[in-house]
Amino acid sequence: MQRRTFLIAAVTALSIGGPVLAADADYLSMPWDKVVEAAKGQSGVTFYTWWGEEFWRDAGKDFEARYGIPVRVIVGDRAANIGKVVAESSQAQGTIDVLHVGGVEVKSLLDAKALYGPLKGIIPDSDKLDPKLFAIQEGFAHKGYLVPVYRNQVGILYDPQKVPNPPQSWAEFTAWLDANPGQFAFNDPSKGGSGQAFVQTVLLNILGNPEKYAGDTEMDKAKVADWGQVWSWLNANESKFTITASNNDSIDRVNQGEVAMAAAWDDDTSIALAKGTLFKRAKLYIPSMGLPGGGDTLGIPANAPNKAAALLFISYLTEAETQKKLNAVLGSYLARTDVAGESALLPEEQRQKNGVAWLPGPYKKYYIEQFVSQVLQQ
Amino acid sequence: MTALALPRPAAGLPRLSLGVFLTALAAILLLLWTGVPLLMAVLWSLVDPDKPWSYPDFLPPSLSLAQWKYVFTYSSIGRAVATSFTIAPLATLLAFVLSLPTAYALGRYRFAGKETLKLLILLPIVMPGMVIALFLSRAFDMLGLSQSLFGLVLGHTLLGMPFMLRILATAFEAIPQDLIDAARNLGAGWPALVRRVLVPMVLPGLFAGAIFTFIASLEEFNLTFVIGTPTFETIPTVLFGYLGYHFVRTNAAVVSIILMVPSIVLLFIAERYLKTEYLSSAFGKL
Repeated sequence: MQRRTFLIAAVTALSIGGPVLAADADYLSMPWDKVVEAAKGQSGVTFYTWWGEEFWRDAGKDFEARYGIPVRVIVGDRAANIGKVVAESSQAQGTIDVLHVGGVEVKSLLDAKALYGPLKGIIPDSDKLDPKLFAIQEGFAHKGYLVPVYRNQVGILYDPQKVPNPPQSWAEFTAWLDANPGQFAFNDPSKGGSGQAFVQTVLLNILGNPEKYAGDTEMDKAKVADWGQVWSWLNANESKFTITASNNDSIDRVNQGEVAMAAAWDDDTSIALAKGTLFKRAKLYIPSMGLPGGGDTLGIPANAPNKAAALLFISYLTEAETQKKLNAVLGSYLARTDVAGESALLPEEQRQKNGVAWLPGPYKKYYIEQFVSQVLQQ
Repeated sequence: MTALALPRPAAGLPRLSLGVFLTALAAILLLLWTGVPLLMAVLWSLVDPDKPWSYPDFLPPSLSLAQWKYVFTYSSIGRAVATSFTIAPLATLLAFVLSLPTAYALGRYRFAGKETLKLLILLPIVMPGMVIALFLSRAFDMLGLSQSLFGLVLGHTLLGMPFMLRILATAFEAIPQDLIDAARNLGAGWPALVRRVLVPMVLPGLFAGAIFTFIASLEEFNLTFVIGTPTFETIPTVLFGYLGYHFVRTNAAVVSIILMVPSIVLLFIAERYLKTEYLSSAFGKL
């Protein structure tokens, strides 16, 4: 009988869910020196990420050397990290202090009300971090709950031996594609951001008028009524493209000589060059037809056990010197706008001139779904 | 004129029959199917970062252990191996103890709903791992089992039990009733029956179930990640990051080899042991 009562209680509690937050000191309204003081009294920082371990682990050691606060870096699977945060969101205290967040996960975290903040204005030098990324990440508005840690940009990776003069405008690109069928690769947009970036570029170059989507938080069906033209164009030209399985698969196809050009992230390209999985002569550029870029962020779960230490670690990661190291090790561009990185594959001038913003989240989600159903599954 | 006669094959030498040819062909294809990816993984794990392996090079232009050094430097693989090899044997033992009565009932008795129960047992294998992990984690949290070694052993046991249960049940089911009756007619009581008949007959099944449960535990990611990390890291929680969204071929090659080795060794042991035991069972060594 007791066992049965216990089981019923357990199942009922499971179904209730919802966040149960422990009472916490109000670090968001505390002077920064008090936050630092409180951080030094906390047991450590547990940081969940999904890549870049060589940088995060070294940064963790440097942080511990400076503040005496140990950092534990867990390199998990990107989706599993978010799954864990959401699974723990009903507990008074979770196990994660700082979370590395990619654009795809922003909506899940906001919907689950799983974040602590907003952090804009709390982290010192907030005003020196990319203001766009501090408000919107890959089309999803996060209202300053997520702190930019690096920027990245999609470009076109190419083999200069095969393509001495890569195309710039949309007209030049389509002419090149006609002359070199199968020699351009981009990944299935449901499997990675560089493919999403290319589909958006096709969409905006065919339809124009990117301003009409700006600021929308819900999809306006009237604004997507003409998107059928884009799917028709892609279907008609599908045989001229090589569609790959992931961001890195596209880079690999260039390395293997299967294609001459591919849509690729700048930091993925840097890592491939450093690891010996891409020939050293490879080049990356942002064509004048435009490609979107953005960046990734750091957040603190609402039930993080060591929030003061988490704030201090994020502050450390956004310091100018740490940002320069990040740029040197990972190749991702700095989130700070007041310091330049020396290891960027793409010059800042090209980023400013040809880099474009992502469409708002609901439109981005829609074009990914539509590409899969209207092009891949046709 | 003397007719030329082809020499006849010496008696006792095997002639190349279609069966032998097809077997050899299958063996070669199997070797290529499993051997080539393994060879490629080994080669990619040895690529020198300063001298990329690119088209048109057939082989890496230079070999280096830099990729191995990288994985061992920037992951907690050593600690994870120790944790995995602590949890897996404990989970296997617990799965055996918990499965034994149910497996015996499923194998030796007839009762209503038996087939449905057999199907239900397989549910944890059929459902997506993360879905199970998310729901189980809530129960584990409430019971205070998250972030504990006992909780992880219990979780791995639950996920490994379908293998142990089904295989053990089949092993019990396969024991001929005649053997049990004969043992009883010869005066064997329950202890002798268990020791001389049941245990030797189910031993191959038990061994197979143990191997599957052990490997399932070694490769379990989702539940361990949700309820075990950051306190405990196992081989998959440390290594799956290298195989996911930011897949880098060289690191992934190193990781794949590390993940593959324990499974291959265990399967070879199982294959060798199972063959012997099945033969002894089949040919009446009992």
